[in-house]
Amino acid sequence: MNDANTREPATRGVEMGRVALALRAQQESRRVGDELQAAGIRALLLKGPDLQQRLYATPAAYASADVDILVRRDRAKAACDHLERRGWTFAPENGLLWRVSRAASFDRDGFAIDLHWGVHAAHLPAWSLEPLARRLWQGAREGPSGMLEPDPESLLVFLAVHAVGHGFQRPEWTENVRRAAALVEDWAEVWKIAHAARVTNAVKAALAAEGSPTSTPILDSAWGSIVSWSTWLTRGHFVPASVRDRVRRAAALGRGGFGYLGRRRTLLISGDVELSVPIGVSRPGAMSEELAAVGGELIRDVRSPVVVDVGAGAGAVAVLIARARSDASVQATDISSRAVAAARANVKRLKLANVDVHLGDLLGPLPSQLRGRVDAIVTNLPADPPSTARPGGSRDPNAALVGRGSDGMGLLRVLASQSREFLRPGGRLVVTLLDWQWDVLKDELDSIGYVPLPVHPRTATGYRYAVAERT
Amino acid sequence: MNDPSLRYRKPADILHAELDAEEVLLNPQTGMYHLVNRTGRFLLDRMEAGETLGQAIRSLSAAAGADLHRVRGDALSFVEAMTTRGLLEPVTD
Repeated sequence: MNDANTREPATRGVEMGRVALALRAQQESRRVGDELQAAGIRALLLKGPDLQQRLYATPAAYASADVDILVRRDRAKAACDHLERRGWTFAPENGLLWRVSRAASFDRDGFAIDLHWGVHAAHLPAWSLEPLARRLWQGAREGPSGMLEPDPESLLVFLAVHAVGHGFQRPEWTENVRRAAALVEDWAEVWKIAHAARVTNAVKAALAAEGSPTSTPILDSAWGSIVSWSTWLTRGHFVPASVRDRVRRAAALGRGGFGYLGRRRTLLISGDVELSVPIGVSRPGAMSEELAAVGGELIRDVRSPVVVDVGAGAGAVAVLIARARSDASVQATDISSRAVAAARANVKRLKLANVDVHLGDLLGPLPSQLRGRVDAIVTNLPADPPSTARPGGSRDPNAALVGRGSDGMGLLRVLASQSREFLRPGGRLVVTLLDWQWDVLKDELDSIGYVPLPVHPRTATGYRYAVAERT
Repeated sequence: MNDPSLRYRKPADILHAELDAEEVLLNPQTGMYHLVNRTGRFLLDRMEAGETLGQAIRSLSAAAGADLHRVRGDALSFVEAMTTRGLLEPVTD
């Protein structure tokens, strides 16, 4: 038996972070289900912590922030529109072929959700798996998640297709199939579903799989070969994956300034501040407003304060602080030229003369005359531990949240070190992280010349704003 | 004050997951995470299995070989803290 007290503190911290994020993902997915249902759109849970709960009796059986929700095809547009109205962003990683896959990823406050209005696998279009999608709906029943959940028979077929579609790359996908099989009550129904969906061989392969990556055709017979090869060709899979990925991202980014269904992507923050956020730049959310409020509190009694926003993105935090304090000098930095261009455009459009936006890494681009003069440095730099990253690497929307190092706080440590040079004595550094991360980081900050202060109240997103004062 | 003759359980909206022998709880209403240690988890598991709080306290005392009076005091404080935070509720049906 593992003994919690004998684990290495860092390992235990990472595990605790993984569990905390799984619970948060579970909370968010249920909230989305509730929101859709309130809008008259029924949601069927395909994957996520509640599926892990069903299969493993815990929502945190393995690291994954993947939440997949199915809505009926005729409600897809209403669901997409509803999510956008509720602050979800259409992710640029969706590329161009999301309509063919009948699926799109949306982000909100660092959480990602995949909305499906059909079932796809690997490069196969959703129409080729339409019988499976229909069967998922037919057998669905209300689950503990508050959403509809598939019956065990169609769930098994879906998970088998999913595992085969991904070439059994992750052992947990094979284990999911094994556990779903243990729930099956009617095996004749399983084979009936598999036959109707033309995925009998895939289900057999998934049930026989031992966890090592392998390649199996998803669709049965000559029909499957025809669909598979024609799709492979039309989707350009003969081109190397790296090239396809670059083309896809370029195509998505090429619509710069235009978002889902061609609408210009602007959003309101703090009720009346309109920001333009091009695709490829992190969309500011509630966290930006909260971070700006925390920063504003720290400089409340300082005359003509100097504030730095690190990793400014489209400039939301810098803009909010600058608007609230016309006597402040606000410096914003970001390593992304696209983000810097967006922030500068927003600052110009809002006619804010007290904000300067710099291109570069952390505090590197700040003018040297600011050394020792900064009153507050605020940031929501990515700091999630890598164990919470979703599969998909750099294409993953959540990659923007994952920090450097085994505990995700690599960038925060570098920033803390650089900040010592720029903060005046008594100046304060504000970082955004998880509870357990602060427990680790505050001791380190203490050892390099900061006094950790009591953390600010918890955010709506599960993160905390922690403040350290330069001695 | 909590009633040892009652059974307590986590409300349906409380999200929870095991972490080794402990348990992490998330109260969606407050956004607060809570960590229940193995002793607290023992009590929760016994009540989950159908025991009243009083029975769970006796089970804990026997399992730990600890003084019943002391266990009772600690357990009642624990359940009080949990109910105050919305993490436990008495089973009334």
